Amino acid sequence: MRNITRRDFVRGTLGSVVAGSALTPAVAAAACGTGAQRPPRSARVVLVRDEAVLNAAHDVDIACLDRMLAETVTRMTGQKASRAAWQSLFKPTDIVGLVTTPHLNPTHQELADAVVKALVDAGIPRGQIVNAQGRIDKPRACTALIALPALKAHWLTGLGTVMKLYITYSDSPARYHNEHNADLAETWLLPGVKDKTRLVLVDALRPLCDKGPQPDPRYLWDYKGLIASTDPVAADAVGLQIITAKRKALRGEDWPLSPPPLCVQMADEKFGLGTSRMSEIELVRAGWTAQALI
Amino acid sequence: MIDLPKQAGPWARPENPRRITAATIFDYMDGGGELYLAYRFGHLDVLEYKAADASLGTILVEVYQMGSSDDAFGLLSTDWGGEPVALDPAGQPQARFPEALYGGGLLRLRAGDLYARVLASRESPASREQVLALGRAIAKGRRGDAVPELVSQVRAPAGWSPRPDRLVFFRSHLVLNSAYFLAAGDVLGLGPDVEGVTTECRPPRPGGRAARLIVLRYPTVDRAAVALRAFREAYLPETAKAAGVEDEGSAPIEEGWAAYRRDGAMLTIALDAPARDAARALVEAPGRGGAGL
Repeated sequence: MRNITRRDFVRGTLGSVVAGSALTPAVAAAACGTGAQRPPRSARVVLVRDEAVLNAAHDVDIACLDRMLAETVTRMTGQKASRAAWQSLFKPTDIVGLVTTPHLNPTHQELADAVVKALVDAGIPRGQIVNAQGRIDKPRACTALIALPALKAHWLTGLGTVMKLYITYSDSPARYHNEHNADLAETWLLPGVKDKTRLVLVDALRPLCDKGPQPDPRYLWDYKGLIASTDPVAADAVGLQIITAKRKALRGEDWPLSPPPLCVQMADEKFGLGTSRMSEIELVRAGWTAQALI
Repeated sequence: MIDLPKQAGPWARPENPRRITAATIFDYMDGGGELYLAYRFGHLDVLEYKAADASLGTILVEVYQMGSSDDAFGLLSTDWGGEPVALDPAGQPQARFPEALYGGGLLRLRAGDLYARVLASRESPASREQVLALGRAIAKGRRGDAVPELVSQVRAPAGWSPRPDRLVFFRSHLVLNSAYFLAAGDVLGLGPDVEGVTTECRPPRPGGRAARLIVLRYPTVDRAAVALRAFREAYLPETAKAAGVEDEGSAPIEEGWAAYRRDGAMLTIALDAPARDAARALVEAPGRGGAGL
């Protein structure tokens, strides 16, 4: 594959750049359409916010977070009650792996704990809920995954949220920090990972809107939200909209992410993993509406 | 390891720092180490100050030993935002290229060949006072005002204004891309022995399109020539096929005009200029003594 340049990005010809690239057989088989020619898709993304979930010191109100989580999964699944919503996603026989962002603005532990509590309440044995962050053997041992990334910009990939979450499942994670960062969606299609993610739940309680690498408190803010979808690309696309709007609000002028998060568009156009087009995303909102940024 | 006070207000440090090297930096900051390795990184010493009252939070001190003051400048230059701070208690903060910047509980500073981050996990007037005091202790006896010589080569033609607050000193395409995405891979032959500066240039006409300026210095003339060829082939393939002088040229691109000019081991590139003449003037300005920063 030739080098993706700014000119490709500006022209909107990323699809043509990758069309002639040599995909691995597994990835090529997984791709269900590329570029502008791909079939239409649709996705639902739920955004739930509550002003009370963080206090002035950014501490999490556990009870409030539990309510937000219940609101999120019921709106995501269309079920009336939280237990039924989780039961519609997972069975008592499942081995459920939770995949969190482990470093540099990590997923709130309180959110992972709340998910475990809700799963147990829905009848999943505690011993069958495991931490699946790490090497590929972790997801291989699971029958289902919940992606629990924190919403954040990343200085090497533009966005370091959903598409980047499974990077450690690759044999060579570092290569995705360089020329191949546009191909992060490959990691979602690896044997042992593909088709196992039943819920993407983005921790947008306190996102990071500039690239870091280490979190700079000037770019953290209390958004107090959860973003959920069964489409990982759509979840990233919504997070990207929020991050982009926050950056513009901070500077009072356009402040695009650099490098641009090519991985989101490519996850759609090259790998067929979901939709990155806001026109194909049904955004369902609930709760606090101030400074929603989307 | 530099000598830092054992006590900073209610916060106390452990006896010894944790030493991080290039071999262990990814264990310390997975996904972040590339930034430091993109410059000439020696090692990092980490100290965490803790208070008996945990509600006060901690103060994390990271002192990066870099290969030169240029590398320390480069790390700070990746973000000139924040409140400029004078590390000399009797001094005034520099208006241009400050030695230290504070915001949200984080102090970032350069002092000679050191770069440092001092971060209070819970910002308060008391933690700010101690963060600044620790910054002064790190900087004590070291110059914090050095600017890479290459910055003096950033010149602009009449009417154009290079922005100091957008200036980044770099040696790696990863850092260049974090300021201005050029290409996913390295199309400029960068590396630890190459110096680069990039910034945005404001146009003469208010509201007009800003241009991007990239100035590079290679260790040899040959390296510069090879880099220019690689850049033209990857980024301006239309010029790579054109006959004529190879060391300077221009071409229309999607966001205006691009121009390049090699002069010995120096290579200057202008992108996104509003017109061919403007692009050419931008790359010719260093040689003609255009307005500096």
